Amino acid sequence: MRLRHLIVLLCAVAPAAAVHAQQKVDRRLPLDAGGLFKFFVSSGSVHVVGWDVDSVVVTGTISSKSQFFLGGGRQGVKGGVEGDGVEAMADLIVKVPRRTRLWVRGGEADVRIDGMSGPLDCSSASGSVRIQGTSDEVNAETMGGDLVMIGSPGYLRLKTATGRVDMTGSTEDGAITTVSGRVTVRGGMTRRGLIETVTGDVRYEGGIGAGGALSIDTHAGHVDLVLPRSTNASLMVTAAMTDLFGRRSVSDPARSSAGIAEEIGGATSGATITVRTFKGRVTATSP
Amino acid sequence: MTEHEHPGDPRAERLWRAAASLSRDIPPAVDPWPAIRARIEADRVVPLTGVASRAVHRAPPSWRLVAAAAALVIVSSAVTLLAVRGRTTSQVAAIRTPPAGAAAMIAVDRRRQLVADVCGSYDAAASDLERALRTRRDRLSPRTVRVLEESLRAIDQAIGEARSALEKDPASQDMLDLLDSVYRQKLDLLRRANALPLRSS
Repeated sequence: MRLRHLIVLLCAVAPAAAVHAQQKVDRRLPLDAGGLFKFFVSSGSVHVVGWDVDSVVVTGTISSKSQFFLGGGRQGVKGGVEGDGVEAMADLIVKVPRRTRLWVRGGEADVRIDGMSGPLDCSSASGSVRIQGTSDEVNAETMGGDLVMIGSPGYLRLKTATGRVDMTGSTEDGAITTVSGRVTVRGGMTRRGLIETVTGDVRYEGGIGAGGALSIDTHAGHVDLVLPRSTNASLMVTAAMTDLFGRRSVSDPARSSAGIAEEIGGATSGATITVRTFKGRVTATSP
Repeated sequence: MTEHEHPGDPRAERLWRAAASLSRDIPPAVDPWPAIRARIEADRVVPLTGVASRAVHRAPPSWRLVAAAAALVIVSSAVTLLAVRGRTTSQVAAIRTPPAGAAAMIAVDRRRQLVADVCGSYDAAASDLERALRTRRDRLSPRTVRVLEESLRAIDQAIGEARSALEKDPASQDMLDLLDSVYRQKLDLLRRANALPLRSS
């Protein structure tokens, strides 16, 4: 009975102790629109929000054993949380001028970026990355976390290892790379697109612009193309198993697969879609 | 072999004259640099402009030097291969045209050698980066190490399967391109792993 009382007491006290083990952060600095903001968080989460005010405001909590720093001038501000692992746990909201050039590194932290229109360079080792905004240039990487991109930057580079990539929007010049992570694109790569995985499946729902080139290479992933009815492009597929617009083919897996060429919509636009997979299958449909 | 070793053999004489007329250097048949430059430019990461570019720039750490050296090895090997391959083909053709079956076998052997050389260059570059990574491994988070190991296993299995397929069908350009893609993924993953921030303890 005494032991039960002790456990109840510990359960009641532990959350309170955890709250006391945190420190509050509320700091602000002026930063011109179009200035540079660099931020680093080791673990926990950071949510960067673009706003129409020429200053940086950081609010939230960090663990008691870590240290918060923020400094700089109107042209550039640098900040972050120093410490290792759980000791540097942070849960922060960072507001920055919308057109800021943003550079964020999250060791194991989840990074979320909303409402930015300036160039983004963001990475996390094993946390997730989620970006939504109107930036024209986006570079985002994570090893083990998932990467979600909602927007249509002109220039886009997304990389993971095991994490999945989910992109909604279109880009003129895009490259997505994973090892085993699944890639899903809803929108399209209109001028130049490259998707590479080793074992990750690829689903591409979108079109391609006149004269554009989309290339999808995967060693063992399956590739599903869902192309709009208006698509006008040459489709070249190399795979052991294909199902292209209802026409199926299976080649001898002991031999290299022969390429299959399809002309979609007359293929007069000069656009090309090239898909190659060694072990996976390729399907193409038009809804 | 000299003229005096086979004075009465007209075939040997012809072969000697053909060989003697060849130039001693082996310039590439076509200038490979535009293609290499285009490939580098295609994979180029565009830096942030203005103040951002300068502020983000850091002094190159050792892994970058290793990666640069690795890239140099690969590029120089590719250039040498392109140069030697193009020239020797024309030299052999000028001296003697082998029967069709023999020509096909020579082509297959050359292709196998090309694959072996390219793989050797990539493997050497990957070994350098893996060695650098081993020194950092204890200071990476266990979760990150797990992700890396899982990914490298998948990549190495894919490389093994692709090489095996190329052994059976060395002429497959698609397979060679897929192998190249997987190798590039491996180097890129190792480069990224070497750039990850370390824990201080």
